[in-house]
Amino acid sequence: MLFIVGAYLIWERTNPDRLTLIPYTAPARLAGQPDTLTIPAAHISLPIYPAHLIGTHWDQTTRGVSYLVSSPLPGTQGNSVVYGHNWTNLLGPLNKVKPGDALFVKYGTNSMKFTVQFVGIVAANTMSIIAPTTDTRVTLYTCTGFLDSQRIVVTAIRDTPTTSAQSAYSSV
Amino acid sequence: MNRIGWKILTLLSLAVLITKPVYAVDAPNFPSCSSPQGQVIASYNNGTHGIPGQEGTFTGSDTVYTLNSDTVMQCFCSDGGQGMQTNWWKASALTQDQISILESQGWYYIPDGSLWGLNSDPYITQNMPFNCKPGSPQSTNGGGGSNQGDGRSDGRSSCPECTAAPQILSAQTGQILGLADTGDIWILYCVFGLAIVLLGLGSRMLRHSNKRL
Repeated sequence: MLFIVGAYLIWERTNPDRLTLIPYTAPARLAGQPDTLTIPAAHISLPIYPAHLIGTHWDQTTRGVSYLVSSPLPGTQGNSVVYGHNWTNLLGPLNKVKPGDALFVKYGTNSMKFTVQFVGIVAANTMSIIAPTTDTRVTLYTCTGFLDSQRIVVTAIRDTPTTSAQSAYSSV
Repeated sequence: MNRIGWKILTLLSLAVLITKPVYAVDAPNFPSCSSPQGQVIASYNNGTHGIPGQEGTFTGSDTVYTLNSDTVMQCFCSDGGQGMQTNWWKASALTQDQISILESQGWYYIPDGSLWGLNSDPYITQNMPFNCKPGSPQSTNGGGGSNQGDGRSDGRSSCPECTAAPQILSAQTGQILGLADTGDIWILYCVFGLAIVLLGLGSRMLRHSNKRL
């Protein structure tokens, strides 16, 4: 019986459609919140759900990645914080990301491009990675290391539009 | 005896799974080069640099931040995109035993910081590799200002305003917060570990009952 449970847990973490037998209601997105995160180089394409940090409790979801709503919206000035489980069908492939890779955040049909600048492993209490900044960046992280004791962090800076006529978004 | 052996094995397995390492030396927390903090004391957009504990020299950008009177952080990004964060901790208040413990954990002892552009106190350093984008704003984060022609910057900082802790970090006074715990591999280990243990116990019980028959 336990082997069956174990097999289900592995399937839940690896099936590409992120199917699960456990009923789940995803948190509702408010207008203007991002809806998809894509990193083509690592074959990551995941829905983004709003999440709150209440005390020491971080909201999490197994259906996609979480955007910390108390951080700036991705694409606006500041450090936008996005995190998720290190499952194979979620942010497990984050360790394949390299500096220079493109990262996209979609708002509806519009897509905003970021370029990865930093990929590193930090201790679980390295809160500086989510500190406010004056540039426009996304900080993405998930667990890694022995018994998930560390965090792998990817920082991407938003690409600057090249012409004044170019809007903040590019059409998909 | 065999039954006792199984119980001991089970307890040892559980102990290994739940035990966390205990360090005798409480090293300070350093920020990450992904979002550097502190006062820039040196910044080079290019040039040849050294890394404590590593032989040879490396070319790339290098920025050094002072965090407080005892700690310094160095963020180096090579021309090839290999980054190294070096955490410098002033060792004058540490005992030899503490230094030995830190060295056994991978720290590197520098007897005289002045050889590395710091004051002449001894330091103990820790290297943490990362991947960086050469020539990016990140790799020169905090290293703004004008280039002095020899690869050095005048050190004026374009570092983001990272000095104040944001509201989300100080939800409750005195509480140490950490990043979200997004891993749950321990659940898989427990399920399969328990399954194996119960299978072993079950098979032994079956063998015993078969012998009695």
